[in-house]
Amino acid sequence: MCKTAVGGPGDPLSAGINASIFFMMAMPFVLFAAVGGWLAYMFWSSGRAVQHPNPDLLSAEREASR
Amino acid sequence: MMARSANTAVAHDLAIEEERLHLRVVEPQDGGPPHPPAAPPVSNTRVAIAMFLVAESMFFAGLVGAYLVFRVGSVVWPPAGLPALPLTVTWINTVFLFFSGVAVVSGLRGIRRGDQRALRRRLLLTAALGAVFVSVQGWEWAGLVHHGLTLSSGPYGGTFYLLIGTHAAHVLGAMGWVLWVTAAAQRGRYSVENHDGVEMCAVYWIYVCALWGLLFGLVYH
Repeated sequence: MCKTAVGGPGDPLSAGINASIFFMMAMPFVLFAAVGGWLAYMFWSSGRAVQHPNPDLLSAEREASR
Repeated sequence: MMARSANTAVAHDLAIEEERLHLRVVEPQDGGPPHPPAAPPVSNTRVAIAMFLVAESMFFAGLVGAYLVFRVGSVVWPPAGLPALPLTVTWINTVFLFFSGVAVVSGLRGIRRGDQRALRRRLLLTAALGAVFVSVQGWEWAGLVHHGLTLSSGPYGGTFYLLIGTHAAHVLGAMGWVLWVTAAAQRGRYSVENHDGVEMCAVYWIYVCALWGLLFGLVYH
């Protein structure tokens, strides 16, 4: 940004632009983490349903298939 | 040999479970119709609404970023000589919006158990509370304009009306969506098995309510 548009370190406008930049840079990461975490949880919870089936149900179906 | 038979038994058990959960298409041995294909862990509907909300969030992030430039960059905020924002009335208005979120969740739960009447009633209640919220905001704005806070009242007025006005426009859009879903529910479109439209609408309404919570805390305090 142009040096003449923004004052020195003590200029409150500098602080405002700094805060705004940090906020807007952080937002994509926050959203990616939120959506990615939600997707990961959905895939993980559906995967657990296959890996840990009901043992009682398995025994009954194994008997029925013999 | 015994290890191989144990592995075969495990594979057979897993195959039975996968078939039970409809995770793969299986041609039945008796010549009947094939099992339906697997449903993905996350439905296309949910992915779509998630992408839409991400886009909305980035849109509001830009507006909030602009607001932060002026708010953090000002020595005195709000600037002297401008009317104070009506905090008490807005708190009450926020409660109305909160209960509209409760109503839409209640309607979604209703259709999940097959209660069509509850769905229609809760959706109408949601739209009504949303209308109250927008009306009270309009009344607030009329008062603020009368006391001198306008769009051209410097960065304070400009960012206030931009942020809150954009949110109000989203509430109006969400209300239109709720009313459209209500009309579809009146025609009996939704059921226990098929209510993705209601779910998407409810998620968006809750998003708008949560967004108001953030904006209210940021702008009014």
